[in-house]
Amino acid sequence: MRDQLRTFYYKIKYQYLFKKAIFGNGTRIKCKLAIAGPGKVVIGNDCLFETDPWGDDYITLYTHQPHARIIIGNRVILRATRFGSHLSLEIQDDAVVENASIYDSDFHNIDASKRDENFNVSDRKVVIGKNSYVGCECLCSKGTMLGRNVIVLPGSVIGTKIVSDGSVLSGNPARVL
Amino acid sequence: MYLLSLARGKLIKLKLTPFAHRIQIGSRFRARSGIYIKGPGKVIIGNDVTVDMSFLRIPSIITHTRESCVNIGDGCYLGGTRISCVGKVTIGPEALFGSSTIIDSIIIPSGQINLDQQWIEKHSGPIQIGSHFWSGTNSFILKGSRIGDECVLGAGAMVIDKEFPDRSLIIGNPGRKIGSTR
Repeated sequence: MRDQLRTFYYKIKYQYLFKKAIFGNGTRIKCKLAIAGPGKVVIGNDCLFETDPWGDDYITLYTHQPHARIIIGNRVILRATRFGSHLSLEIQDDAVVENASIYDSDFHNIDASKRDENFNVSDRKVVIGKNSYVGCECLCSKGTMLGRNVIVLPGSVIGTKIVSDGSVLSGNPARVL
Repeated sequence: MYLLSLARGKLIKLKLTPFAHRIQIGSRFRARSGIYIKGPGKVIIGNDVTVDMSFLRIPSIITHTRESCVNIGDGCYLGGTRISCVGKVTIGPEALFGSSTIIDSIIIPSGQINLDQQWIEKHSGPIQIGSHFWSGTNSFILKGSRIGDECVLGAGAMVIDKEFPDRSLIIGNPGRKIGSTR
């Protein structure tokens, strides 16, 4: 009952009032959700947004550019995941993402004098493939392209990397085991 | 401060233990923050254990099956430690934990996964940590890692499926031994 009310509240707030996100049918939200920024968020059918098992309870879907997109497929499970998008983030069907951070930009210029300017030169698309699993406290930085059935172990950091189907990744920087 | 934490520990003990036989807490349990224990498994906490918050994280212990067992030795200090247990997690006496994460399976099981014996054997392994262990902030101790006595795990290090001898100094992600502590 409480979750249904919460889902209803977020749907009204973000889909009809702020017009920032499109929710699919049957999506359940069991935690706090924050959507901000000028971009668009598309959420598929039958997703589940919940707290992580230890009680972290905020999912953030932040877009920092007008053309930024966050696309979440069908039956995706997110547990207190943090997103920040300048260009495009895509989570495909049946993926599970624990309380990881997923970004597709550096957010600031390397040059110290230009740090305050709006910066989107080195953005790269991020794709989390079908049925893949991203463990807790991972960092998926810009240019991460995971294939299908990939498992990323907890605590790993992935930079610009294309990962083939069915592999297991771990470490900083992440390597295929 | 000592008396306050002792009183809070008594309160937590009164709240948790009478209603769940699976939770056992030893004497002189000191709580400087709350502790979050959830799940059907067994949690045994020894004498003189202190729990504390670190980086706004409350220490939390999650068990997933009836057979899973978390065993924390005497005199341990848990500062914002997160434990997720499917099989067995054993921590020796006098261990000192920062805000590290202990998970004894590759995938943290959710409602969709059928948690039978076959799944547990395939995806998880017991974690064994010796006495006088010290772990740094944001370190990860993952499935099947066996760490000896008087070891030190550096900040941000990650250990998986590996055995470390006594008195080893472990850093890095993936973790490797770079020296000895004595």
